[in-house]
Amino acid sequence: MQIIIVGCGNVGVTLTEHLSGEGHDITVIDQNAKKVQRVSSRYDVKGIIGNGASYMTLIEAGIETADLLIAATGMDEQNLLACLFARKAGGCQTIARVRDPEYIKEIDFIKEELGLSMTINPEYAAATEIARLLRFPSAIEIDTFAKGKIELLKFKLEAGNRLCKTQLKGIHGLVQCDVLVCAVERGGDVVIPDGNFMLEAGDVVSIVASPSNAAKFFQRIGVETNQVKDAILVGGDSLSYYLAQQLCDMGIEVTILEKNFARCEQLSELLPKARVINGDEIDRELLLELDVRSTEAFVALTALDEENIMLSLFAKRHSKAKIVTKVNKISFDEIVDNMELGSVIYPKYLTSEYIVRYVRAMQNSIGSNVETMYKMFGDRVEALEFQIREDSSVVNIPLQELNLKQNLLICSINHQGKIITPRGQDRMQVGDTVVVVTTNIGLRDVKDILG
Amino acid sequence: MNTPMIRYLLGRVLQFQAGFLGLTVAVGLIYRENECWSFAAAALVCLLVGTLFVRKKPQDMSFYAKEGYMVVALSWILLSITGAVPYVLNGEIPRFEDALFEVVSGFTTTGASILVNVEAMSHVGLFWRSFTHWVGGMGVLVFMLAIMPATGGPGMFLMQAESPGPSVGKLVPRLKGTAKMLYGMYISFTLLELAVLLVLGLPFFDAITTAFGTAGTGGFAITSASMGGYSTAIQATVTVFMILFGVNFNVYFLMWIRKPKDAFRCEEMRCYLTIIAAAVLLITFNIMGGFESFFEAFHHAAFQVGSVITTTGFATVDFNQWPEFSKTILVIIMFVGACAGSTGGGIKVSRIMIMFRTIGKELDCIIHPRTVKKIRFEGREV
Repeated sequence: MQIIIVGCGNVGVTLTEHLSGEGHDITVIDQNAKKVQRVSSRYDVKGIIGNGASYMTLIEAGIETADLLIAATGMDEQNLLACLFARKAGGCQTIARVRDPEYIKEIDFIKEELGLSMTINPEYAAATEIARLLRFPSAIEIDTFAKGKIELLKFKLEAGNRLCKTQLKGIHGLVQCDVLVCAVERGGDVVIPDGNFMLEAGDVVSIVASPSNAAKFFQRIGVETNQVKDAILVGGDSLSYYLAQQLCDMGIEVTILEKNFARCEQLSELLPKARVINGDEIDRELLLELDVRSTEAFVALTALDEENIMLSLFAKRHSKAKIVTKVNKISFDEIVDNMELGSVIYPKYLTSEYIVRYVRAMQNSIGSNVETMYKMFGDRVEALEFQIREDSSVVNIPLQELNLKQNLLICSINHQGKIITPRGQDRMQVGDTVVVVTTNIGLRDVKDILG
Repeated sequence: MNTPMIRYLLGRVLQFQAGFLGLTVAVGLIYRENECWSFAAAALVCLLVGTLFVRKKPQDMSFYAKEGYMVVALSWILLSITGAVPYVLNGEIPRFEDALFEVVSGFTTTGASILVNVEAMSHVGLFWRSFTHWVGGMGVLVFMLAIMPATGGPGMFLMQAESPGPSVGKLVPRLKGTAKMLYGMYISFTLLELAVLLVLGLPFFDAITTAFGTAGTGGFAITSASMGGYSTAIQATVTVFMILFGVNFNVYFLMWIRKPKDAFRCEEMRCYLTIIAAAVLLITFNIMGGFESFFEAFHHAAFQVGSVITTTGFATVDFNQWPEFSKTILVIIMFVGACAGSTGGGIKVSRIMIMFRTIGKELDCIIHPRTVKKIRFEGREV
């Protein structure tokens, strides 16, 4: 595919590296000639010096024939403008990095009006990833698809679990929360189960659920999730804010340590449930006073990578907490990975990973009516996202009355921005986006779901 | 320095050289000439050594500017030596240093020759000589990039090291695509010239060697009279193509993707064509006395200017007999040279233009010491 990347910062370069390595034709745009030169001499890409939000520059970059534009400059406005022009000039798909919390609040509106395919907020993505780490033990694998809107949790059913020998239609009554079992791997085979399917010990079960439902679900079926009860976040930037918000929502006690007093006030306003401490982030005594020794989670999120590494090493020495370290810039991965830093989060890699996944899904869906397609369980299961554009034989009919193919499940309906986990009475309507999970590889249109 | 990687790429170069020599052998077989055995031998050696070199793929693929220049430098030396050996083996050019001179002159598209009697050479020998022009014109490494699977690493640095212009511009995002595009245009133009020459009645062998000589802007001809023995129409065709091969290939690319407006906006091409037009007119009026008609004077002036500005070096008449004024103009445009990004030689029009603009800027600064001025070229800051 022909891809234009605007902005050669941390994320832009990481994206260039990955996408160029996957064989796409990349053109990069940046106003800084040195940066463009560095990127275009290191990777096999075309570099253009100029403002990515200018029509002429975009034309020069070949927007008319491009398939995708990714705007990843440091400025939200520039990113959005670039995407808007790209959309109007070339009709290509667009992805914008938007990080200002003001815009994030109205992101659905912006996406709709500017025709963006995807927006990505590196801090928010990183915060979500960290929240996941703190929420679940590593035994539960988490996968996201449909542009990150849907979370898929995969876990192994141990013998003796209350779900063993239960039919799927009975699960809801048993756990009293909204989850959908969408795929089960048993003895090397993957099936998309229906209501009569009986779970057995040893099955690898994938469920779709919202984060709070997922926690409830695991609790009710007696899987130890090891969700932490309290957490210390060092550093109070926007990543920290997003993370604190998510953790508070899950009922985790959050302490934030931040140097800047004004920022502390702001945070305490935004996060009434969190405890905000004003103090030097690398003050040993202060950390000990905050009870690093007994905390269950320690997240180092200051602006300086070196500080974060130091802090995590310190926490490791003094506590048994789950430790998460943010590393922004340092690229000595092989060194960082060998230090005792707990889980290391690289926001730039995360962002680029999300986008790369989207690009892959986009490429998979070329030549069909599929919006995006994700492969799961080692390519044996496909999750397809369809947009319902017109009335057809599947629209406006309760799902239970549709004669669906075997091994196929409609696992979510996005109705006007709200994600519904569909039951028999729900129906698809024009304008909805639906996600279908199936082992019938190669569906081309939403009508193909009928048997 | 990543020696295994350099070895690997040089192996590839040798394999390509084997292919080029193989093609020459085929020509020899067509003309049933015994001289071709030495080319076959050289091709075989290149193929063997090349295959030996590439047999083990290097583990460490890191490749930087230093390696790029190393590969380019070594590969030209290798190409020249392996290209010279056949002449010595079959005795056509008995002394090795003479053969090396001839082949280096060919690959660098210089066009200077040590041969006293060109007509005495075999067809194989003459074909190889002209073919080196064609290969050298666009560069064997660019050819390699066009054909080799996209490896990512070495490409850009090789291209930088190989390209003669002030900066490397890519036509399309992928280097491989760019290289393919360049060779596509190069081959199309060569074939076009070949076709026109054939239509005008030139024998096939003369036509193809002339086309090679023009395309690479090299200038080896297969007669001592160079282009002098051919008809006016053929000379005019060669004039046009020499000038065309001296134009920046970006211009053709823009035309190809249907952006003729942008193509004609190219400052360098405009300047290049203006220089040619001015030089041709000045020389025509200067030498008119020596020719029967204005048209004849114009024809020869145009041919010489086209030949000299692109550093091709074909000749129709002996311009040493021309007045000093004309000779001076020819020497000046020889220095100026063709456009960057073309197969022509010289300092390149773009550099001259930038130089003049710098001079203008410096003058401005003398008159208004506080002047702030950026030099622009093709609509961009330099």
